[in-house]
Amino acid sequence: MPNLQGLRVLFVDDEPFLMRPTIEALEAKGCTVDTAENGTEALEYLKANNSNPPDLVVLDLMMPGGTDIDTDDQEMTTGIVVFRRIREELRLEVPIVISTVITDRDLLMTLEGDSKTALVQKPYTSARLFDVMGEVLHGPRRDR
Amino acid sequence: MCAHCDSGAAVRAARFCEPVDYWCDWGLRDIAVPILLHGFSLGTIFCGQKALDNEAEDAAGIDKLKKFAQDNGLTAELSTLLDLRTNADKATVEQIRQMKGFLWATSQAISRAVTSRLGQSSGERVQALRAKIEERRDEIRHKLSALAGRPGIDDFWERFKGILESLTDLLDCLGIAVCLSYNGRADLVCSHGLPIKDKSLKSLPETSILTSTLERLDGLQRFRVEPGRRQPDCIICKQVLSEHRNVHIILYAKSRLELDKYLHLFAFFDPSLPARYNLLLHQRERQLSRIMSETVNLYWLLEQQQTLKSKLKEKDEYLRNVFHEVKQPLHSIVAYCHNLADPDFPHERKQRIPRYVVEIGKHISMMLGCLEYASRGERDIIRQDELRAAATNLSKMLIDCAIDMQGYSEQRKAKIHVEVNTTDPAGKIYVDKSAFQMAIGNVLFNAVKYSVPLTPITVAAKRENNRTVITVTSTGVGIPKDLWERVFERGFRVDEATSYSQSGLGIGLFVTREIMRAMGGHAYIKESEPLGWRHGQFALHRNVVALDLPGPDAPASGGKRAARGPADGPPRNKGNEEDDPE
Repeated sequence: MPNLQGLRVLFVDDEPFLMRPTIEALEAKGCTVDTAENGTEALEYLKANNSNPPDLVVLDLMMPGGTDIDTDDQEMTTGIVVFRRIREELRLEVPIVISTVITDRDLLMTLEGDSKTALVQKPYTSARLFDVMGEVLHGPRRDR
Repeated sequence: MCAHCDSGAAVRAARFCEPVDYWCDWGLRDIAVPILLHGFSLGTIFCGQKALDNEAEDAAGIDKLKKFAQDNGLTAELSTLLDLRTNADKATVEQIRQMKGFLWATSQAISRAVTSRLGQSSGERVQALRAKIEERRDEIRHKLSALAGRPGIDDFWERFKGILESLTDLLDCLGIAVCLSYNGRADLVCSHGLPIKDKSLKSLPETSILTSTLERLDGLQRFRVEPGRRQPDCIICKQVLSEHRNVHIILYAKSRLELDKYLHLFAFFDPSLPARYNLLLHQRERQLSRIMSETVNLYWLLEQQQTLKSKLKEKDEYLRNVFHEVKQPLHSIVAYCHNLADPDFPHERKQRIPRYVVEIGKHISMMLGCLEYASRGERDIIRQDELRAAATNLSKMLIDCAIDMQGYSEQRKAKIHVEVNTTDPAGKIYVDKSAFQMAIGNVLFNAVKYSVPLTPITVAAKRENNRTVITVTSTGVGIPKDLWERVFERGFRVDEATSYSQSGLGIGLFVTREIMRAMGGHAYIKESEPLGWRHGQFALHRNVVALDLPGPDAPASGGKRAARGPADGPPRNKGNEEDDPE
């Protein structure tokens, strides 16, 4: 079990009501968890904390909304938009754990091309999430 | 020779067994004389006025006639005939009579010669030939069919036209059948009385014209009848019909208009023809109509198949969504259980878990209840007899609904306020409490889900025109007016461009409206007014969803509850079997 004590986590999921047990488990492990229910909130939080970004982001890929936040370009999910903007616009190297039910291999390979990104397939247990977080923080990434 | 008028004259002559004089279409005077053999017409001699455009050609024939006349004592008649050759149109009645007399004698001479050649049994032979013709009719038709499609057949028509002109005078003889095909090809079925191969006949000089004509016929050919040409259309067939011969005529026409024209001509001779034709046409049109109807049905079936495929695809997608929506909360319950089992999980957090699990359970229960209703295939998914109305304290019910939503609203950082004017008679209503709670719960759930965090959600109730109106007001993205009705459709979810989230099954508001309808009420969007400020990229609106019911004076539903089983409806809340105390 990785040591997550003191970790600052941004938990981005459109169903925090249902993700609460996972959030509480993280908090029980000593993490400080901030939540965002959509891509907009997530990016606003990261911009506001640009100088002191969170240690890790748990990002739900399937937050359907589909529209790029600023340009109104159609994207597949706001999860992907957020991911790309974190890396390309905000240029944050923060480790990201992407939680998804998608099994599209091409998409997953695209996302995993980033060395500081890991995937965890939904539904996951808290223990599983902790392992993935540990790997992306401290060890080589793995396929999920 | 003009087949149009000459052929008609030939038939008249054969019918009356005497010479016929007439004016041809070219304005020339002609005479047709039948050649008779035992009561049957072998052919026709035509003689008439002719423009002298080729005297040399005529000279040889005239010499022969002169010799014939000399041998038979008809010199004077022939002389008259020759004199009138070019101006028969000016001939007197007496002169025409003389001409007819000469030709009639000629005809009789031919008949005698043929009879002489055939011998004593000439009559029997003719009868036998006629019988053979009848026998060969089918054979002839088969031959005709076999010739179809052969190269050059269509060209034959040009050559055959001339033959047909000659044959018009033979039409009256021994059962010639002329079939003009309705489908554009004419089948000539010639069952002529004098077989081509009868050498004894062929050698007769008097019959040379007949045999040469038969030789040129050369069996049975197909030819295309060109509508609008004079022959072989109407005249021949008209005359034959008037004789009631055994003739099969199939009218050919390229269009209904032409066919009607032919029909008009033939109807003069056969009054029953139009009726028979109309019957046939009617039958064919019915056939066509049936074929078209079956084709339309086939297309409809194909369309239905496509629709079914599309619906099956929608169903699969819907099932996937259902699976996802149910799996998520169940997974949360499992996660809570893991937390409970974790010895390192803080105790004070463990104490809150049962409450969270209950909330999730209610969420699943509400969703399954809506699913059960929405999965009903009937038009009216909720029947009135399913509902049991009872006097219910409205404010308490609304508060209960808000409490049920508490956990979710806290997570979404929303606060629900309930406003009920207790001095107003709206304080009590007659409703099926469980169903009504579901209806309000769905509206509240959507309000919490789509409202901006930290903005209030207000549930209010009041009386309006003997109806109880409950409104749920929230702050969030606007709902376009063209979607105000669509949001109540089964499976519809708000456009992803205007919503934070598209999770959910899209059945909550649909079920709400159905419940309200079954209660005699209605659910609708009352307003979606812009507030003038933004939250991120979205302009904020005040959205109001209204549920209205008949006033407290009238029960919202009547009748006893039908027998219920586990699948009969949504799960009931505790205590809903009795009236709530105020």
